[in-house]
Amino acid sequence: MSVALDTPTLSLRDGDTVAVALRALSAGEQITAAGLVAASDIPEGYKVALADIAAGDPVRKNGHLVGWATAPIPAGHVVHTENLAVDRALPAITRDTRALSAVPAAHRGRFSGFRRADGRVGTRNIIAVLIVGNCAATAARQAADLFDEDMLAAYPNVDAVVPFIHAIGCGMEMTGEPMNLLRRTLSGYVRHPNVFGAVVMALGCERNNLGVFLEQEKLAVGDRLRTVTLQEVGGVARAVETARGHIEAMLPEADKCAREVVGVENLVVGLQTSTTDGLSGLTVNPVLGRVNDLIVASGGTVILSETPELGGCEGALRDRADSATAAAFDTILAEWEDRGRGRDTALAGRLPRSASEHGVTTRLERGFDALAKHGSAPLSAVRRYAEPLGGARGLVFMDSPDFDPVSITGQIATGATMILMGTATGSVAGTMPSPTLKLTSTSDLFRRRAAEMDVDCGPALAGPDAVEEIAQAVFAALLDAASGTQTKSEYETMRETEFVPWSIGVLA
Amino acid sequence: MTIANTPVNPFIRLDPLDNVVVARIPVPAGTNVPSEGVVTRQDVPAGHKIAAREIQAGEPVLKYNTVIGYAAELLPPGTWMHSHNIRFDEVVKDYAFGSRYEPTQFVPAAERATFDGIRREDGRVATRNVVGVFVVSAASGTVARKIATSFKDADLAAYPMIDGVVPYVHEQGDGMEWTGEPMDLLRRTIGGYLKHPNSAAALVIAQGGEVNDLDALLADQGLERGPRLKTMLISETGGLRAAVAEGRRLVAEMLPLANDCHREPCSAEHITVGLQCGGSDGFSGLSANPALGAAMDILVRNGGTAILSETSEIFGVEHTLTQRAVTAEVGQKLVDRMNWWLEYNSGKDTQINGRVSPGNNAGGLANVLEKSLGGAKKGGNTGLMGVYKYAEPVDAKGFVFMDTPGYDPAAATGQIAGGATMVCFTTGRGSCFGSMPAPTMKLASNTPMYERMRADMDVNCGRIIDGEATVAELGREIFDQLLEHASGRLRTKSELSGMGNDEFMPWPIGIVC
Repeated sequence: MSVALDTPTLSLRDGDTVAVALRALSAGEQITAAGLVAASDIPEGYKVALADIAAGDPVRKNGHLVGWATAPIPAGHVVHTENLAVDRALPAITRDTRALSAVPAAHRGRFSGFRRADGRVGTRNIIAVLIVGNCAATAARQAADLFDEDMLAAYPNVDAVVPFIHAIGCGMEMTGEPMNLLRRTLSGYVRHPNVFGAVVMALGCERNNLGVFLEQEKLAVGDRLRTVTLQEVGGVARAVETARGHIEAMLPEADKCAREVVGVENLVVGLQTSTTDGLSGLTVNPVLGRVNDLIVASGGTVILSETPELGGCEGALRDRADSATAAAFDTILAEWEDRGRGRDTALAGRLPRSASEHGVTTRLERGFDALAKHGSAPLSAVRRYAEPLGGARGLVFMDSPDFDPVSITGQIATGATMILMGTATGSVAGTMPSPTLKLTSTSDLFRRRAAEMDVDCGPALAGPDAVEEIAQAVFAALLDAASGTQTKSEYETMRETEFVPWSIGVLA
Repeated sequence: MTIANTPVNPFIRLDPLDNVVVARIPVPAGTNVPSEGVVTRQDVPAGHKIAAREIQAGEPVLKYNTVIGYAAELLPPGTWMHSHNIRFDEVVKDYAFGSRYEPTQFVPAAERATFDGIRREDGRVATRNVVGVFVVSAASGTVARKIATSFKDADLAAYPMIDGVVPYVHEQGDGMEWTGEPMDLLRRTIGGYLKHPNSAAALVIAQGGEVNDLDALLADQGLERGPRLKTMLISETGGLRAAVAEGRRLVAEMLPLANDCHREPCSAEHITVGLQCGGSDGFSGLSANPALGAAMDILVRNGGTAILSETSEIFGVEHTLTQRAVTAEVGQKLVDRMNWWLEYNSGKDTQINGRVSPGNNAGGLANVLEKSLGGAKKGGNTGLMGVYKYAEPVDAKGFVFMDTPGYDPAAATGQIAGGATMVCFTTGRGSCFGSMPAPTMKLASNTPMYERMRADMDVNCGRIIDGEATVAELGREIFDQLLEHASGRLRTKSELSGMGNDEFMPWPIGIVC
């Protein structure tokens, strides 16, 4: 239970040694009933010492240990990078699972989606143009770009023809996880419930050989999956023409797809954080956590990712899993331990500039702030990047980097049909074929980026009732968007997207 | 059976100094080879060699003007030569820095070939005049692409000197190492494009807050905002559509200035060529690659620069480069990069060490040296004047090496960032690669592919395989056509098909997190 003193200036919980400024505070301003005075101007979202803190003392914010003082901090002073760090081993961080009471089927939310032959339900209906390697990039983009809004006007049930262009596919390892990952990602898009049909283009001599790709991913060429090889048809111009013919043949069939009303158990939502600030843990993340629970309780699926963001709080998620799932999770964590060694990244404690500029001091603090969005359901499954969900439902973790375009690409390939993103500084991401709904951590950001942001979570500072109210609104907006209402970023990005399969290998 | 005086020469001479020539078709014993003044003494399979003159026992066997082995016995002219009479194992990979370095015989300055280039203030000469839209990170890709592609032909009609508005979108810039080589490399690459002679003006876009911070990028690369270099923060524009409109306005503002230039005759010494091969086949090493090498020898003698790259593909022949190094230091730099690669690829399924398959051997290639030489010979035979890291500015003239992966888009991007104003790309299977702002000229190794993909190929080097032209003739032809392309009089096929908008790829060597 959050106890707000002198709302709306500070937030803290019992046992906290620092409070969070809920608005910008001025030097000399009295900030607690007990008479604490701000020693300097304190920006919104920054931490302020509630009493004198000695060097080496643990610092607690919002009920969590976020680091140790590296210098004496007098009461009323700002607590940030100059006097707070995680400079020693962390204690084990655990958390109990609370079972969610399932929402009865009759009361579950519903949305209107495209039911596919395999039983999955899409939220959009697009035709995808993919490439096995970069050598076909220009041809694929030219083929897809022919189908602009005017050309598609005759097919009202087709949302777009989208090129998914990436930079790899050749010059890479012939076998092993780098190639497997790329193939999983591509086939995840080909099979995606939001994708009616796909044209896969190849130069012809890529290491990610088209035939081997189709075979490994058990994809069969047919009316809804066509391939074009530049070296076979005689170059770029002919390949563009051939692909265009395939797309034109698919359009009338794609247009026959109709939406039907289904339950939330058919929804798969990828949860994303683009950037965080000192208020994220109090506003947008608790809202996301509550929405997360609403979806899972209704039988739907939520995918958590961004493994490096867990930052010291991995145990809290791990403890919600059964032993087999926990073991799979541990394997992924060990890989990151290896990957990050000796690298100057967030994995070694260096936070994104936007986070530290907005009051977040330590990776541990960011990790705890992020915990709130994890909700409270048990962790039901762990997936590798772009690995199909299969039968997994409920709260699922899919391994990915933090980097938005890469993480979102993996979630969509795994099966996410909607993306729900929290942001503290704004994100330009717009995603296809699964649209993104964007939630801001502050009302100020929402006002400044009104064209791109869907829901303002700033008012969640008012307390649990406000969190609940906003979460219900987000849940409703999510179902609306899933039913076809365009999200703001969908409108803004004009049917384009960044498609970035995680490049984990070497290029030779 | 004897074919007397076949009208078309059945052998290919790869270099004037070679003591072997290579059969382009199966040649029966007793065939008269007038071009070499010899008669074949045995049946010679296609791709195999014969002695072009008498070779003494123990004498070096020269192919591509490079020692590939030693004669096991006295070999009379016309003798079929393969593993049975060449001692390949005696070729010691001796780096012998500079032991075979010979100063370039330059064409006198007044007699050098010229092309119509665009002279920039700093004295460098452009082959194209392109306005670029750059991103510090992948997140801004859509905005950059929308801005660049919004400039249609009609919008540029009033600016005849501008060759296009191009998006340079990539997948890095955030979720990566803050410091160290991955970030240094990314910034060198973007900086190299921004400072490229072919870049007339540029807009750099950021979302705000990226690891590859916009201001840090500019400072690192010694760049300042000005009339030809503008920046835009999407976070300050009020949405993507607004950002596209604002970006379009900023680019449009720069067009008159970008258009304010002219072409004038310039010495070929100002041309820097990035050498590439992709989708190679068995003919590449007999036609397109040596012909390109011959063209590069002409370019270097005219004072120009040729950049050989694709480090992963020169394993086995690195000593032939270090022996041509101008100094021991230059030779050592190459060895250092090779050693780095061994570590980088350790345990990976990339086969950087190259393998000679049974098929290669049956085709006349005895070892990795002979196989890889075909690729390395794109660079010709002149002295190695410098070795560069990926995307490092190339400041030497002549034949140089830049460390890059073999992967075409990543390799060409590094060369262009280093200053290449043209790219020459050999292919056997038929690559459709294209690049901006330095255009790519593609050289087909065989006629059937050239015929099939005429819309994408600029030169048919298959005529060497067909016996219709010699390596030397094709070399001259490639050089002449290169000047036409560099002058803008002749557009490359890849430019005509719109390539180059999705092939900018800084080499990602770090981790994504």
